[in-house]
Amino acid sequence: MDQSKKLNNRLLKNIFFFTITATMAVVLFALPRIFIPFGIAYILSLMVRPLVNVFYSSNIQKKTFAVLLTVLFIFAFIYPVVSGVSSIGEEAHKLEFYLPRAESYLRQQYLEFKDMVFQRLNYEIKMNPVDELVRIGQEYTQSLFVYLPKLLGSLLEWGLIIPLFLIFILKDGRKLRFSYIKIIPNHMVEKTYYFFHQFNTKFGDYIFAKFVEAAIVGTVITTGLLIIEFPFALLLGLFAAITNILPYIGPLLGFVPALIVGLVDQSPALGQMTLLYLIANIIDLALVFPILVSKIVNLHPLVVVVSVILGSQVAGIVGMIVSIPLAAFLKLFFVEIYNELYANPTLK
Amino acid sequence: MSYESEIKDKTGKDSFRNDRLNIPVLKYFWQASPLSGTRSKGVHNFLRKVSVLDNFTDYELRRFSKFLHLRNFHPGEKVFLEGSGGFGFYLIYSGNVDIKSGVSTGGEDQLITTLGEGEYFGELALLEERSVRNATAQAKNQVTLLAFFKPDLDELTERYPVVASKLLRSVSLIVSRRFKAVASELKMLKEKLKVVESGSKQEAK
Repeated sequence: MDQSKKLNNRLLKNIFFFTITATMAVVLFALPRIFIPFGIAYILSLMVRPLVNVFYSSNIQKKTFAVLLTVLFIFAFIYPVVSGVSSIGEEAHKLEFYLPRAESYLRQQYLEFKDMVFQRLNYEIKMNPVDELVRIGQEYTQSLFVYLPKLLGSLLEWGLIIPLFLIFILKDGRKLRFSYIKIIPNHMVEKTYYFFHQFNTKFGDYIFAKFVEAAIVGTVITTGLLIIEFPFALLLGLFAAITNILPYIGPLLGFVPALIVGLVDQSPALGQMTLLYLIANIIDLALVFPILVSKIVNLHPLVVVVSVILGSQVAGIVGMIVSIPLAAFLKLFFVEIYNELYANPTLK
Repeated sequence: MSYESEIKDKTGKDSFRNDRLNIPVLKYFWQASPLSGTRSKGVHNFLRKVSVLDNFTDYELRRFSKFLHLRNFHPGEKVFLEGSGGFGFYLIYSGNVDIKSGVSTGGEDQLITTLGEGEYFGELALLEERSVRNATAQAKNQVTLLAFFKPDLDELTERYPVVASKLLRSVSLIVSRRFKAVASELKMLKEKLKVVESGSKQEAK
């Protein structure tokens, strides 16, 4: 009787824990307007963790610190967005007039190429890849460049909610975490807490490293393009910074629009621009990546590529960013399970 | 003027009622009182009694106590299993815990020791990168444990390095005590083995 009572109690605890966890997950994912700013605030809280620890060891009050950090956040993130929106918006507006020029340039180049093939090989190319390319290009450019100011605008909207969540997470996050740990059943508390911690660490460190990496690449390219007076310097710098998130193909992808702009404009700075992109990526590959990112993510290149493709398919740009630390965490998780099940001779 | 007459003066003038009640001072005296329930039964007070935490100051114990998780176990419930990965160190707040191992018997759990209030186990999990439990810990009766997990150690190290270093010193102390105990047991076993060997040699002659 007593035994069955204990079993019931254990079962109830398990059911309660899984119900609470599932409910929290469902509520968060069902409400994207809360989930996205909350997710960003959470990532920010992970990123500022080293700073938090400095403040803790210097005995500054939690509330004071949260307010200080929010002010810092407003100046570091909101101010550049506000000042950047107008100039990037201007560039995006110019782009609307620029795109038809690029299209006609590509068509002309393609026709010339077609003629050349016909003259030399007496073969007529029937397919027309330019139409398809232009259609894809238009779709992507519209959704990326034209939508960019709108996205930055909604960032401003989040500017109010994110600091609020950030204060809440910094002030009470630990209390909440401890309360959640209380309801984890005894037999799984150690591992759940450890994996949760590992996930947080990997996620926070990776996002922070990638953010710094993208900022360095973006700044180098924007500054360089401004110096050589290349058109669309801000947009191209921003695009290069965003595509830098993608491993391997990201830097190449970031270079393509700059190359098209250079070719269409018959820019004399084309060579300088190519050199600039090369230098920026060498700085990234030789200095920033080995110091910042590679220590955090120890994955096979194939796994990295596959996880990025899967991430982009599931959740777009956010998916691309999240996929690598998630893959690193899953690797750790499976290695741990494997060790627990197979590699341990003493396990009964 | 004495304190009483000052109070009397103030109450007489009706100004005392306007004075604010100093809650932090009251809280301090309440907690400092030896008769206070929270003081005699609290986690912080319990930690003072743990011998390996002798080197902690009162303030450090209070900080450390904020990182501990109070967990209850029913009689017979397992805290951890032999051979499983370990990420936690436990202090016994109340009750008894049986430490068992099945390695020497090849499966059947054999009782090694029973630990009581103020004792601790699972300390290697804090030191090793991937710790594997070398014994099973099982609640003998209704047990309350104070758990300190590896992620807590990381956080403690980052936030309060002095407290973390003292804790690691204490854990090292526990490990060295266990090592000494094992070494002396090994020595004793070797001597016994010698006696047995010499006995069997004499018998063979």
